[in-house]
Amino acid sequence: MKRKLGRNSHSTSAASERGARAKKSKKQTMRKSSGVVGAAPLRHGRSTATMLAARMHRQEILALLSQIALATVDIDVSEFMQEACLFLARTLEADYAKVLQLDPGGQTLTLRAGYGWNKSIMRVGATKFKSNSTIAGLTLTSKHPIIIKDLRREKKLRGFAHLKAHHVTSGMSVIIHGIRGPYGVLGVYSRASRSYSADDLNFLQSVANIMALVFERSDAENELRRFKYMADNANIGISLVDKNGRFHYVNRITYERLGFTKGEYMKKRVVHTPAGSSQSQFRRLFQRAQKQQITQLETLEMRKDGVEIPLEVNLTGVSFEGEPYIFVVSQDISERVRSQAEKLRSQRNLEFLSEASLLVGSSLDFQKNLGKVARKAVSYIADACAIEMADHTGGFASAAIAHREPKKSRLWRASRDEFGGGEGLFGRAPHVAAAGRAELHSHVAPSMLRKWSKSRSHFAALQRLDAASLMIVPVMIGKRVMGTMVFANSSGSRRFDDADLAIVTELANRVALAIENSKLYFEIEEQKERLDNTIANVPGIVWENWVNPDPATQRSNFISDYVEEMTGYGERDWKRPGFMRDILHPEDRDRVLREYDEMVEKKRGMVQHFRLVHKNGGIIWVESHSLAFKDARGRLLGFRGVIMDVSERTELERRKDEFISMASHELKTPVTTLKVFTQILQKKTENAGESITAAYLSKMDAQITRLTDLINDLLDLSKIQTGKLTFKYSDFKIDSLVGEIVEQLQPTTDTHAINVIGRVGRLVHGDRDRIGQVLINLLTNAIKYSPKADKVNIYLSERGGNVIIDVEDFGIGISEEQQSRIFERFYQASEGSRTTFPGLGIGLYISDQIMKRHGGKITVLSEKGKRTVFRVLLPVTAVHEKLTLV
Amino acid sequence: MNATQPKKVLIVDDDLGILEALKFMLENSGYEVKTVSRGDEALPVLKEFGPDIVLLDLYLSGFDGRDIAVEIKNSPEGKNTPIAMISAHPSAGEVLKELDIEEFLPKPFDVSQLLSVIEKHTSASR
Repeated sequence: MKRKLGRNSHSTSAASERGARAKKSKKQTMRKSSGVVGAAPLRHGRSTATMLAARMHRQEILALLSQIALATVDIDVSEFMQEACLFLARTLEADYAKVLQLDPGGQTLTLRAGYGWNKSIMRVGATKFKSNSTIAGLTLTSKHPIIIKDLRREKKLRGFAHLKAHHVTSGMSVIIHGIRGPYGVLGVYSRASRSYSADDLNFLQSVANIMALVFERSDAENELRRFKYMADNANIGISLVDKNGRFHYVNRITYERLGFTKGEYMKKRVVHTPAGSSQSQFRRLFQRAQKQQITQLETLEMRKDGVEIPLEVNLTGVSFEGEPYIFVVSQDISERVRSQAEKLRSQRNLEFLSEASLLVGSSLDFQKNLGKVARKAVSYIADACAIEMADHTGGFASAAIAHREPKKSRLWRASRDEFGGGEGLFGRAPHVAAAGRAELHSHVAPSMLRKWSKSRSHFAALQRLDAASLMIVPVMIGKRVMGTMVFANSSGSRRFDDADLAIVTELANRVALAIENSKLYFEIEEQKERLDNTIANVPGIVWENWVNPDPATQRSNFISDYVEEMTGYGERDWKRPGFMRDILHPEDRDRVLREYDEMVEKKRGMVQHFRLVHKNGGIIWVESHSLAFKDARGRLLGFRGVIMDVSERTELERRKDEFISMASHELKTPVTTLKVFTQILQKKTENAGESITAAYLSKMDAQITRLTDLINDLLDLSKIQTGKLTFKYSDFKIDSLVGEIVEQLQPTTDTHAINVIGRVGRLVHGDRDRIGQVLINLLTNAIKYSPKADKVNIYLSERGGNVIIDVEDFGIGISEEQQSRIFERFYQASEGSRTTFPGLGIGLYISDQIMKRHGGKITVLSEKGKRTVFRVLLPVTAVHEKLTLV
Repeated sequence: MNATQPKKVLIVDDDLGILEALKFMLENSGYEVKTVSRGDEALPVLKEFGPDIVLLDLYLSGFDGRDIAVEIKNSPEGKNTPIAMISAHPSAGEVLKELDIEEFLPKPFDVSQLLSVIEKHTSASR
């Protein structure tokens, strides 16, 4: 209480942080109030209230308290109670006075304020009141005021030991009644015996009533504050409007969302507000709300900047003091309206996309399709649409143009005709194409048009087009730009946004695909025609056979017209399953069918030679080249190929073979005679001791042998080419073969020693003579191409299932470039023009072929100018193929 | 058989050069030689001459050596006479497989080769 007393002294401790502003206003009020009752000047050590209390009449105290209670804004309840208790204690000569407040639950009493000598006594009664063990509790339960004149004489209160402990003798206790029930209990107590009268009790009750008023006011103010807080922070507009359309209350959002201040908004008449747009409409709504009808409407309210905001409004009729009002609760539904509009637009966009997509590929005439697409675009998403396609010069040319208004359509066309060439109507096509990215110009400024235009007249023309909002989209596949699509909206229409851009980009993609498809279609047609022409001119049967799903029922899927010319049978015959079989020459039939089975099994085509029987009974020799074709998973689907009539060629070959065979025969006959006479002469001269002549005759004989070998090589070559080289297979010892050959060749050279190094114990399988032929070829080459060396080495070994015969010389060597070619027919290694080595250059070719037919091979390793090693690889179990074509 | 009597060789070939050369060579080697250049003379001469071996060319002008070989083998005088077919034809070796003849020598051959063949077929018999 000292703190409170110091409030009017020089002490400044009274200002607590909580409610500093409220206190200030109250202090002023208190001071003012004091003035009213003629407060004396302050005197040191004594409080104003004390002095006032002493002097003031009870009626004045009640008036003062009432005035404070009613006139103070945001009254501090506790402070008021404390002040009142001080007045009470002094006026009623009590030792203490206190207010115990009933908690909202109504179960407990709490000390709210008090004045007295002892803090512990102040807390008495602040407990569960139902115990009836305190005066306050008793007061509440009995619902009557209590007066204690002398505690010692009150039998009922004998059990109240705590009073006795504090030496309480007299007291009074009253209920602080509120409208909705008791707020608590007000009591005064004294240690001296006081004979409290009914007047005293009345006075106490009067103070309690003022206290009740304070409690009620505080509650109401708090409630209002809470309401205001909620209303101001709610996302809905709340206002109270009277029957004349004037505002009595508006919350913050109501005016803020429209950009007004509260004052500006309050001045408006409700006809310009959500509650109504005309006087008559407002009246009708007002009356309907008064009849408790739920009135909800959607309306527009204009923002301070002129933009209309869509609102959803609820009107409720209320009545205050007999006057009718309406509560207007409004909600901004722009978002909802926007999303609905958005949804509608996206539905339309999808509709457009699907309709335009159908048009894109509606016919093979692409120009026509683009025209349809452009017209569809102007009926859906834009006021104007221009499609510009890249031409072969790299420029852009208009392919379609459309405008919502026919008049403007003509204007656009005219501008296109005048300015649309090369870079497109807006001059943006090359940029869009280069970037490969669409351009969105929501707001097209004149400065942009000026930048894009080629000339002053172009700029003027662009301005006339009234393209206030623009989208330019590339029509492209991958990185290849085929053209651009331009979409424009006039100044009166909406501005394009990203959603529009997305939809036209998608459309451009579909257009690109459709163009590509139609281009492919024409390309395929063109290729097909080209192929058809080619096939028609092939002097052979071009065919395709499907073996899938069943090779047994395979039939011709395609066969060229030439078939009739070649075989006398038409396409219809050939497409009959198994027809080919019937016209195969009986001698070739089994082989050809077997080969075909093999092709199917190996999924590989081949070259075949066989005879067909012409419809007229004649025999046709054919060469058939075939290729397998498979599906993506590698399964064989069938074969394609060409069958050529090679009867003439076959005949020529036969004659050539015959000629070569005859020629070799004719050549060998005189050679034989020559050889015999030479050998006779050699013998004779030897016997006659003419050794020099004998030696010359021996050389002559060797040359005759060489001549024979050359004839044989030619013959072998011819046989290899026609696949008639035959082999006589046997098991033989490679070591002894090598031995024999060395024995045979060593006498033919005076310069080189032929050394055999290593041996292979085993038998090999092959044509002994042919393999001997290979070794002779390699050894004679080795000697021939190492004119300055004195030896040739043969290494015999066995490795990895192969017999290996290396023939090494130390001669001129073979360059890498030559190494890959020496096994070709008629190829000869030479060191330029100065040093040539005679020979037909077919020996290695024949040797290579022989080894290949044995399943082996010949490889070469050479250091130019140092040495050369030819390696013969012969599989131990040599494969000997049957006579087939090479 | 009289060991001192020279062996008889009948040569049938249409190439006169060969005939002359072989005749000269074989006579020098101690054989008695008769030559025939026409196919149709082969059998009559064989009957008259009675050779120990016949050297028969495969292809004679107007005659097929195979026919002559068959003729000889079918005649009582010639059925035991060994025949050495000689030919420069590339595929003669193949052609002769089916014939019942003793020897084949591709042309050209070495004198020593021929001598060893004749020696082989004349020394064992008679």
